[in-house]
Amino acid sequence: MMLTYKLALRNIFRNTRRTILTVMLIGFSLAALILADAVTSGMIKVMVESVTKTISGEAQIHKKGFRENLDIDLYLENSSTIEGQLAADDRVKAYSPRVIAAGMISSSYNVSSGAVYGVDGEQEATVSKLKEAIVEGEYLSDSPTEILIGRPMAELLEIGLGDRIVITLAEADTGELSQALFRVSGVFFFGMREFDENFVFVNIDKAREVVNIRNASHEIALLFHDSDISATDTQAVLSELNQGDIEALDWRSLFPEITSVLEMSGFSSVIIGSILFLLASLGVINSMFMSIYERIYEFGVAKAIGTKPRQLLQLILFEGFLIALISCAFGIAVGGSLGLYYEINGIPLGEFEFAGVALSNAIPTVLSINQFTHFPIYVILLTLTATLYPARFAAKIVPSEALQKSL
Amino acid sequence: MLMWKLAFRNIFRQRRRSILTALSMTGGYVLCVLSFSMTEGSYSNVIKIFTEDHTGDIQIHSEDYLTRPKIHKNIDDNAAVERVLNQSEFVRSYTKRVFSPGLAYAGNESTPVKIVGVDPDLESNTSRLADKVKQGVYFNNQPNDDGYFKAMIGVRAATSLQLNIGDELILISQGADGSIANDIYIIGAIVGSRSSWDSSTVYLPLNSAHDFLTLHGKSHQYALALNDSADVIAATQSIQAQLPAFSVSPWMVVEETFYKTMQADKEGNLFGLFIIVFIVFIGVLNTVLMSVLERTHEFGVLKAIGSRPATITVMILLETTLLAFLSVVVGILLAIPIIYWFANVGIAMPEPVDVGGIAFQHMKGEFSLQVFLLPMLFILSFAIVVAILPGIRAARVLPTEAMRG
Repeated sequence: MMLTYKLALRNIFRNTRRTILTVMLIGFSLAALILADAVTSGMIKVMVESVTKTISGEAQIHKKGFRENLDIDLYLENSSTIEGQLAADDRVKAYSPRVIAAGMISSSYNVSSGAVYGVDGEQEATVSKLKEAIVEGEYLSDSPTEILIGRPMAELLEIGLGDRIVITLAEADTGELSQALFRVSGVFFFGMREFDENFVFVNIDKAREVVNIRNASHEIALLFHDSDISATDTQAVLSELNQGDIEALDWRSLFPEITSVLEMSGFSSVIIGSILFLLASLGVINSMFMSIYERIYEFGVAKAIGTKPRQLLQLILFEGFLIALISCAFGIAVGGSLGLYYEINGIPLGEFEFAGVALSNAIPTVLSINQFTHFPIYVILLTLTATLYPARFAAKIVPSEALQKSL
Repeated sequence: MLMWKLAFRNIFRQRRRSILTALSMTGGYVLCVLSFSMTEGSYSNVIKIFTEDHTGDIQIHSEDYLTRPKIHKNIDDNAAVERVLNQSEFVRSYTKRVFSPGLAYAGNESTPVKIVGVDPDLESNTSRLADKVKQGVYFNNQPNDDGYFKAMIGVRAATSLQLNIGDELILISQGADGSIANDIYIIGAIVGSRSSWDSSTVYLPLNSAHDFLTLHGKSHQYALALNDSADVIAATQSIQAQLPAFSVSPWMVVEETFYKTMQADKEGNLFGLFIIVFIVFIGVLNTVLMSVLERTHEFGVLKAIGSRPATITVMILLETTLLAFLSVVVGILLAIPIIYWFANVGIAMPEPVDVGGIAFQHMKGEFSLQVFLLPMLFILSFAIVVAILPGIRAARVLPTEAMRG
């Protein structure tokens, strides 16, 4: 065994340039794989967080049917009971009840349709980024005429801080028209088109008054302590809440669009990864064959003096293994350092808007331990598999022919 | 001729190595074609869908109505615009529209809607609105016996208002003169599906919408369908030059977010392909260097009997390019059925994904000459680049030294 090891090590450095090229081939493939995964994870993280951390929370509770049309009549009558239950649950990190009504939002200059969100300022700040998204003016402070409005909508309505806004919407149950006057107290910008162009926020008590629902709400958004949404604990909370006509859904069900993007990107990573592996292994086979061809005479001699085919097979496989090891070190170094660099600086993608999420800032890559353990193991296994073919060829060399050929 | 023969023979001297090298290039080529075809196909498919569905190839507005719509930013000289459009060689048809947000009522239900006034005849020649009628019949600009106009409504709005064909719909909005606009319409048709962009839209006949919004015959938008969508930039420039008073925008400007996302995505894809091809060609470089090294002795002989260095370099280049070309030919044969399938069947997304404001429902390939040709140029140029170094090396061989070994 020691001899095989020594021989293999010497053999791969006999033609250093070829070994370097082979190592580069495998190493760059591994680095590309690590980086591709890091970029995809980065994009996924940004997308998922833009959904869960911006407004929507990791899960939401509604009356069944509310989500389809934002039907104002489908409110949670027992909102306060559910809130009490959530407050007592130590798996729930934060929650915020909301009154949601679609309506017309008009200034003295223009009019727009949009969704009016009635929220409790303090609780909302624990669930969503609304407070941090304020770019002008102040956050909600419980004064009844306050309204927060998105920057694009403010531009459309041609209004600024302190200007009047009239909201027209229908009351719950009766459908009576209801109007209320607000004064712009803050302007927000999330960087998500749907929210910035369509949403306004007012205090929940005022919203309840305008819509005429007491103590009720249309939606309760939740955050969990464990942000892994598929965790059993988290799912248990949701299934406890799912009762009768109340539905509690996590973000994967609330935003099937994001889920489908995640599935698609997982699917395409696997395809690209396997093609990359296939191309790399062709290169490995090729390079191993070249090195065997050069040494046919030697193998002939080795066999003639009694080396067993198994030993030759082992030798070649060992050479492949060594090359794979060096390649992994190289690939990890390249992939890891580029990944680290972009984790800090972000990859500039240009202006990107995907699934309603604007990804205009540079996206930081996300490195994970898997990329540095699983991928190299795959690479080593693959290199060994690719080496099997040339190794079998070497083992089958017939001494008489091999010795003749080279003369 | 001798060169070709030599190059060809050299490739087949090491059959296994050539095949393996060729296979990796074929793989790289097929991957490029596939990715290129998918991005081009999916995007041109979705562009075709939205330009034909509603945006048109070009839109004309007054001032900055496109980015900051306001009811009084309207086109006040219909005659001038229509004269230019009727004379333009590019324009196949056009339609004019007015827009306003509004509240819709039916019974006890209410919902905010987008009100769009369109000319029934012009619209059906330019967009797909008439094809999207799911229930009822496409409307016209005549009131019924009671003096009510027909309206068409999107599925989502119809569901939340619980409306059926023939029901009454009350619309409230703001008129251009600042008055409150309200009127009763009869539902003539339900259009589109839940996921279509106009699922919360109410369509009104243009003449009635003009009265409703007190616009006095002025429209907010002209949408143009061209004879050939590929002329969009030339047509935009030509029409803009003739209508300096208005803003003429191609779909790239109308759907700016989408367009920028598409550009960024295409660049990203190209970069990814570049990396993969780069990796493939490390392997190719390995092979070429190897085969040059093996033949040092031969090159020595060639030079000794009077071959010029340039001839030897060209021969190496020829060998590599020939091998790359053969790989591409095999790649084309492999790619044709795959691309054909993707172009005709494609992959349906489990959920439509919003890309820069445009819903993507289907990933489709493009089956065209450029899809096969561009990756081919990509591979061949890489092959040439990779062969230059070993080619020069082979040309520099000193006969005395080379033949000594």
